[in-house]
Amino acid sequence: MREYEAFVRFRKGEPLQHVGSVRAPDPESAAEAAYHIYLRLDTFERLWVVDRECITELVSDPEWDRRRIEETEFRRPSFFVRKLTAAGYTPPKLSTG
Amino acid sequence: MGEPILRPPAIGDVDGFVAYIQAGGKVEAGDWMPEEYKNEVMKIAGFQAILEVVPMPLFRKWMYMAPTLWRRRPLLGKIQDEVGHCHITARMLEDMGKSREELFNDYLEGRIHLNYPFKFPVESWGELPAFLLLTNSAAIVQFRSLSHGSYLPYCRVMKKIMREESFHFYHALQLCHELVTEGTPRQRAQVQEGLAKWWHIALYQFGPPEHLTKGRDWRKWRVKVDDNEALRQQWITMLYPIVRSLGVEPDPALERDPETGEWRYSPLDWERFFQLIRQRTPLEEWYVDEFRRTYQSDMWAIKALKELPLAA
Repeated sequence: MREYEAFVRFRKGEPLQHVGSVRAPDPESAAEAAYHIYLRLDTFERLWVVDRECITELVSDPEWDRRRIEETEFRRPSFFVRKLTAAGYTPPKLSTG
Repeated sequence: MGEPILRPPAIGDVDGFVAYIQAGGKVEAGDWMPEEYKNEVMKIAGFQAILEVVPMPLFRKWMYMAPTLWRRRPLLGKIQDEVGHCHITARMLEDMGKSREELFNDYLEGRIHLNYPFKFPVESWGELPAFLLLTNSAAIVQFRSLSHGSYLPYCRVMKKIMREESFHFYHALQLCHELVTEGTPRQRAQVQEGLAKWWHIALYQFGPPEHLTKGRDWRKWRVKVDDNEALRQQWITMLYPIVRSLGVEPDPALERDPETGEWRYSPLDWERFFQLIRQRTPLEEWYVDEFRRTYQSDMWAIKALKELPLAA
């Protein structure tokens, strides 16, 4: 038996989302098992199972991440929006939807 | 859920595929698609990927010429973002079977042409934010539309890119505003003259109106969903108040039809556009040279990566 992580795209266009894991003897049974365990209540578009052995993980270092985000604050749109507002100019809202 | 259930077409059924797309059907990576559809996606995405990366020498030049370190950082951030955008799109193209080498050679050998605005130089530090503001916002309008297309991996690419583009937009706007309100009279003039100049050029960024383009049936595939003129209109609606607020009247002939809400603007010279679009201006020659030089000098790294034995 091997461990498989299951990922589901619930609706077309959405990113895949991790839903849980299953133990199974082979990938086909893993997909079958994940389908029955995790998708009982939902419709979905696509299900992936990935052998846990195949996954490489990068764990965040919260302190480093906090500093990285703080130091590159100028790369967020809100940074310049705040500057404009402070200078008495109301910037337009940018609809990217 | 109230959505109608659309049946994806059977493999090989081109008519079924077109009907599916026309009914609002979406295509995921790995789904079957006709060659013609695939080419349409690769054409649009390839053009955009090249456009992200080729004008880099211009931004690099201005990054080094930025008057303060504080201003240099966002420009450096922008360069990193744009290269990243090319990476994301090129990765999607690789999944579709088009390698980066093919993509780059398409540009170097003249099969992909730069968009009209990128053929003209930026002359001063004050003109730079005007150029950035108008061309970036035009790109955002185009990306927003493309993110509703039928090829979903590309829609996700667009969504990821737009978040970073809005940083570029607000940075350009803030720099314009700062130079107009706190800059020297010369700087203010540079920004305002820049806005007037680039307003006119940016209108061409959306491409010619439909009656002037012949033969390409983009409506059939819905990778691109809006026509050029509709995007141009959206852009004017978005940008006109901003340009006005920076003290510029960009086009004396510009007026809005009170009934249809449609903007009327000074006529654009499409004949010159068609003439120039397939030519390389001196600026573009510089881009090509820089691109070729960098591509060749980095070739050892590309080769080394290719020869790397696959990890067991």
